[in-house]
Amino acid sequence: MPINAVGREVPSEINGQKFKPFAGDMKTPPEGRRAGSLLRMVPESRSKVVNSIEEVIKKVGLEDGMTVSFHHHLRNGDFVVNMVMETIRKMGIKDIRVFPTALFPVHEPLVPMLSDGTIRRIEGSMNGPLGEATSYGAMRETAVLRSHSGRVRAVESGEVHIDVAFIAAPTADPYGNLNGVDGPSACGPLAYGMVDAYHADHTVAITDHLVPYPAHPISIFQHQIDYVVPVNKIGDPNGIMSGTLRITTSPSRLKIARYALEVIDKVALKDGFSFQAGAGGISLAVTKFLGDLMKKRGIRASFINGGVTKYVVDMLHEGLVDVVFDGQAFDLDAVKSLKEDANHIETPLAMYGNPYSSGGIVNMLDVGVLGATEVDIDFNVNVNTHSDGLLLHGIGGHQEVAAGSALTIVTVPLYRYRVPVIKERVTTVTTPGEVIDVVVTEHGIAINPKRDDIIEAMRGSKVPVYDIQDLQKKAERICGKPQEPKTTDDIIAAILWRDGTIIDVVYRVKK
Amino acid sequence: MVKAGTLEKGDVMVTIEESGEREIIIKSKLERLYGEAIRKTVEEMTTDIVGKIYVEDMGALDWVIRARIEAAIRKFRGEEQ
Repeated sequence: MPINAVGREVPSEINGQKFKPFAGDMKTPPEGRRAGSLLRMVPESRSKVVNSIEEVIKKVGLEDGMTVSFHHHLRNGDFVVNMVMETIRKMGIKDIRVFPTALFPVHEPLVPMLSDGTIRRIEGSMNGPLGEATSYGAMRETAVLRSHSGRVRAVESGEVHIDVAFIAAPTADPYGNLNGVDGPSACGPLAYGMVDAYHADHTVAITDHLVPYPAHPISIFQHQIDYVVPVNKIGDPNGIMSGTLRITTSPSRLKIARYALEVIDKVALKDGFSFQAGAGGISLAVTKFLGDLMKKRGIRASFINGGVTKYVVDMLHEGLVDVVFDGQAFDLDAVKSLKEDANHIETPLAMYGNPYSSGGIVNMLDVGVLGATEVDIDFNVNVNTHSDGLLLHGIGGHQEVAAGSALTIVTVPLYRYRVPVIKERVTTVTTPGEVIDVVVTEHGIAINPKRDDIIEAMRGSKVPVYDIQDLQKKAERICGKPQEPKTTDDIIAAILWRDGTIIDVVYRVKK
Repeated sequence: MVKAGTLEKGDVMVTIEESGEREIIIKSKLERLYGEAIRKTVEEMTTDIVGKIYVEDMGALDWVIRARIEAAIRKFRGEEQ
């Protein structure tokens, strides 16, 4: 097997499909043209409403071996994936490739479908039980994980062809105009579903809030939707929305946020700058502290790319930022603002960070603050597997935000409970060290040696600066060296870089 | 029976019970990463304890485990006297 640019041995074929080894960011040029969906003509009828999922599956002609897709705006409150997959199972349709943007613990009912023949493989993020089951070898074929933008690229390039897209729609009209800002299961934008609506052969909207024609605002337009299926409930609002997200109260995590703020201040903070916001505890704290500092200094940002939360909305309303780009809303404040504020813009995911496009939002980012499960002495980051080898998380937008941001900061504790976070070698490479600039821990920061400009800018700062090797040794001294994960030679998942090259693989874990 | 520690994340609960035989049971959230290291620490610190030693680890650092074992041993000895 070839060795890729981060020193990992990777196969050249996954599930019978050819893949290139990772060669570095923006090192593998695209080939070919955008892939298209089936041309179709709808009968002369003023309604696309179909009364059950079973009926719609018959209408679209779903067969053994086909690919179905889902978006994850309803997160851990989603009912649609389970509803559709359970119907497929009951109808006896087999060997389905499931192509979600992400799955969550709520989708555990899919685990038995991995072994009963319903699902042959999942290509998408698997947060929790499905990832764990896959790690122990439950999936017949090999899982493929892509970042948000990598998934868009895969659809646009034809690497993945979607037969039927099932699109959860918090609001829909009978002719297929959809939005996510109204209805009992409101989730904000429908950004993740847009590429599927455009490129799938058949598209089905599933809604619990059918409104008279035309629905407004419109996120996904009627000419891309074949059928609309009303159901009782598409989700549980408590799992869709996070409630009021709280800034971390942990003193060490707050220290990490303060150090990160100091790096942003010294390196990037100026009028008109831009940054990526997230919903993690440290990330929220950085956003809040940054807003306070900007107010104090009279600095205004040009845009924030979200991960939108109340903290981002507050900054918009206080005039601290001109525009908010929204690919995902985490709380009801974000949903309300998306509906009401003209400078809060829903962005299709194709605009986020697809390297095979005319340029994404991430290319315009000055600062990206990201998390990690592990970081190693080459600045490689792992967000997919735990140190015991289990695949438990998706990639999200980590790769493209890291690749695009002029200053990419990874905020991590030196260790979590007894598990070192800074390691000699990450269990799995999600994002290569070449696009990571600063690692911030509660003990101090490490700057990627190739960023002389940042090293220079941080001279004279109160923040302790270490070689990353020293941080790694410190973590190992405190925690002790952990045992190596007990894995086999069977590859259970491939991790793709956003350009579709293989950056790493995940091996089956012994029980 | 004596106990030291808690079942909070990052802590460890050490229980020692009087018994004619020496027996060590270890349960850890980090079994796959630190199972061997924890066993070594427990064995090493309790060589002269005859009793049932039960360690339930919630991801504690080694020095936390050592402190909890020492506290449990002291309580156990106090109980014996």
